[in-house]
Amino acid sequence: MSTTSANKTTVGRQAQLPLGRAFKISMNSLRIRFWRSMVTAGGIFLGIAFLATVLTQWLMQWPVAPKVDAGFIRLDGQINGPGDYDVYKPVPVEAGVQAGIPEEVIKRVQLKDGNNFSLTEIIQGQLQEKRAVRNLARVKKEWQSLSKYEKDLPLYVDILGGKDIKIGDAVKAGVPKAIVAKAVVHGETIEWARLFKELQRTGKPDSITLATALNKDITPAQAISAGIPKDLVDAVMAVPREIEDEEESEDSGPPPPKPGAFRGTLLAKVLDENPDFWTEFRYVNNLRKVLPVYADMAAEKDIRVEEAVKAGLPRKVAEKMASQYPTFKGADLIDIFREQTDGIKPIYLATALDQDITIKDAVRADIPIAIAKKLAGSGKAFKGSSLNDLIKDHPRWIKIWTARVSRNAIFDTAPQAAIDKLAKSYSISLKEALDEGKGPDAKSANLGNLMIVNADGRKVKVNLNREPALAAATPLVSGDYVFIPDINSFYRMWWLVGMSLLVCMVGITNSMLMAVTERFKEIGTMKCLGALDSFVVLLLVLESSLLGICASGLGWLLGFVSMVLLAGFTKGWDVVATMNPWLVLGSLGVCVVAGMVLTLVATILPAMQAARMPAAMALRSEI
Amino acid sequence: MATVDKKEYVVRTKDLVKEFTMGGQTLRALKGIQLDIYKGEYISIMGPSGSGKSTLFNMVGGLDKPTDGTVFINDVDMAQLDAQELAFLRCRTIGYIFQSFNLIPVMTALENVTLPMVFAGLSQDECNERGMELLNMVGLGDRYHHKPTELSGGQQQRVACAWALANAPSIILADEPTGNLDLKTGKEIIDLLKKLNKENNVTIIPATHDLKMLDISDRIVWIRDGYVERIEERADVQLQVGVMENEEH
Ligand SMILES: Nc1ncnc2c1ncn2[C@@H]1O[C@H](COP(=O)(O)OP(=O)(O)OP(=O)(O)O)[C@@H](O)[C@H]1O
Ligand SMILES: [Mg+2]
Repeated sequence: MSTTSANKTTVGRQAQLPLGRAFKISMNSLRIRFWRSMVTAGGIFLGIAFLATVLTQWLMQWPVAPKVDAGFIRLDGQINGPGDYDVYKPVPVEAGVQAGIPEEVIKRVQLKDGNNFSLTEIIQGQLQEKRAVRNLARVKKEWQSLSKYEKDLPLYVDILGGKDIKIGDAVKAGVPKAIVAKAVVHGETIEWARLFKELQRTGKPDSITLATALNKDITPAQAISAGIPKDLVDAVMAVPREIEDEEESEDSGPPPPKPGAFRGTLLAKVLDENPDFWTEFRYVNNLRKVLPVYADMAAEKDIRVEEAVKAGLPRKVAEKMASQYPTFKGADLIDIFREQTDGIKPIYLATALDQDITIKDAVRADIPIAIAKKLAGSGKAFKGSSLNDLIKDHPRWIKIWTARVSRNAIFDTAPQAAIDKLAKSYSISLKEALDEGKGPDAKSANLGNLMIVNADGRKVKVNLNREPALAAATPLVSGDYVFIPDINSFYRMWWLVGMSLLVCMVGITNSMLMAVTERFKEIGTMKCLGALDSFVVLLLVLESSLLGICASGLGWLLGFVSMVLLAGFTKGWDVVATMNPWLVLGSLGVCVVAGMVLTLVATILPAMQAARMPAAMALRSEI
Repeated sequence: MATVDKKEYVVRTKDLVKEFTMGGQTLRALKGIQLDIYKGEYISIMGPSGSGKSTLFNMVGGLDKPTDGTVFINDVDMAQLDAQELAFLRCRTIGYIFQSFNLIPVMTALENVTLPMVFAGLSQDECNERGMELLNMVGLGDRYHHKPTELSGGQQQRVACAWALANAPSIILADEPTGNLDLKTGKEIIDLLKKLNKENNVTIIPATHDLKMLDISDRIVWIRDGYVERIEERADVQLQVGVMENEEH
């Protein structure tokens, strides 16, 4: 062996290939295994796209501030939920008087302690007055045109509801007399309830029929003595009690029949269902004519005058009822309207027929367009009944707004200059606002990423963790919106990103592992041909980092663009515009680096394993 | 034997032992191989399947490490070499030909042939020039842009021969180069190897079952069960081959 060390010098050392060559080989390899590479790249692509959406969202200055009332500021987010607070501290009464606020005004808004007053309430009062004046004018104007319908519409809504309408009312409401007359004839009926009363009062029909009509109990003995054949009475008695009970539950009125007796209506029912029972008895024949009418009464149906007379009600009584209560059903009037529409405004007709009224028709009929639109909601038409409801509401609103105007008129006397002067010196600072709004969740507030949105839309980010002194030095103004993000949601977001990247990495590792084992033989061959282990690693790493860069670049593009579009369309383009272009570039950098790191970590282990394997073993593997 | 004695050794193995451990069981594939191979020799390694030919081949080619014993290539102990030197050796001193060709499937014939030259540090132009030269030599000059899958088995093996020759090695190790080929193409490869042996004085070490190889070998090493059973001079086997070939037909 002594010769070995001396001879060792005769063997040269294999040099590392220049990077350019390696790069070319890996590009070629990627090109050839295009689709497999695309799958690996897809994993990185999606993972990085998610990271990019989160980063982009982070760069945008959410949220979009809501409108905050004058005199207030709103604290939102992780402090005590969204809450409005007075932007002004209590103002001493003397200061107010000195500034020029009338004493009556101060008296109105004096605080409980008596020494101070609330500036916010003055500002609010002024606003309320202005609002009330505006609203009153609007409601009054609407009422001018709507009041025309005040009288008429309820009638037509009644028609729609199928209620009974008095002839007098209909005529008064403008329904032509001819039409009303027709409607009454059409509905020439007697209402059961009135007929009932009449029957009870006169007591003329015999006791059995009356009992039927009144749904009273009849004993068998009574029935037989009244001339009803015994077998018929027995049949009625034989009807099972359950059926009677059923009849009853529909009635739900009278108690169950006494033992040994039966309900009057049951007699009518049995007669109706069993024609065999009709015998030659005169009385039963008479009953046959009469009982159905009384059964109808018990069932609360309307009965024709003629039928009532035929059934034994004195004609005088029947006619008196029909003339004394000249009513008709709304439904009858609708039928007639359908046939004959002369002289009725389309809007009434639509109401009566329960048809939709289009906004256009409503405007033609003098209904203010604002009201028509309000009633129609998102649609193009509305029902007449809702117009009726609104008309009922209007006088009430006029009253309400009138009261508000008079109540708040006093605040108009406070001069604007005085209010401005006080507002400047008594508004609270950010620190005071935060102290005031501090709730049980305040601990998880992320004071490092606080945002103030002015009433005019200007946004200011404040980092109170870095500069705590800013809190006391930042005065708030009326209408400011302060958003305090939740530190947990911040962590949650990054946790989510971390998890998704981890999952993404597992996926890439898997596909890289497959890519490498698939090439064991190729790697073995290369080693036979003189490739160094480090070259094999370099080749695989180059390949995967090329993939990583391209995929993560594209992933960033997807995430960024989709987030921008989403924010632009849902929250407005001004939110998108708040992004700092340098930070956007930075997010691209972060994404690309993250993608590279992911792929490198995923590749390095399988690559090293493949490179270290003896060439013989690598050659033997068949995949 | 006497003439050969004066020549220098190219490959020497000393008590070469290789054990494979699988699931606690140890399998001795090589049981102390002593083998001296001279420069410019055509020496066939013969033996039944499983006798350890491929294993020996891997040891000699530096593709695997022996369990015990030493392999000297040009009097250098392989075990003493570091990774870079070993790679250098594989790249320039030894050329490999495999039974299953092992061409890189995603590369064209030319790219395959030039790969060892790339590793040897030749420029792209030099590579292409020499690659085409080699392909022409093996008769595949017009197929340089074909992928292995577009070539027949014999053509692939010829590309592999060109491959093995890329960096003008002094040794060619061929593990059953004709194993996957029919008689005629097998013969072509054998002729090619013989031509290289004669013209370039390359030491050819094929492991084979192919009796046609015997015909042209200077010496034949018979291996059985990991032992060198016997080593025969060509003259000794001439007769036997005739007999065997007759039996075959
Ligand atoms: N990597 C390995 N792991 C375990 N056993 C192996 C390994 N390589 C070879 N062997 C075993 O070593 C013995 C010799 O194998 P080898 O491949 O050298 O035979 P061979 O002579 O080349 O046979 P063939 O003519 O069939 O190719 C065999 O029994 C084989 O099972
Ligand atoms: Mg073998």
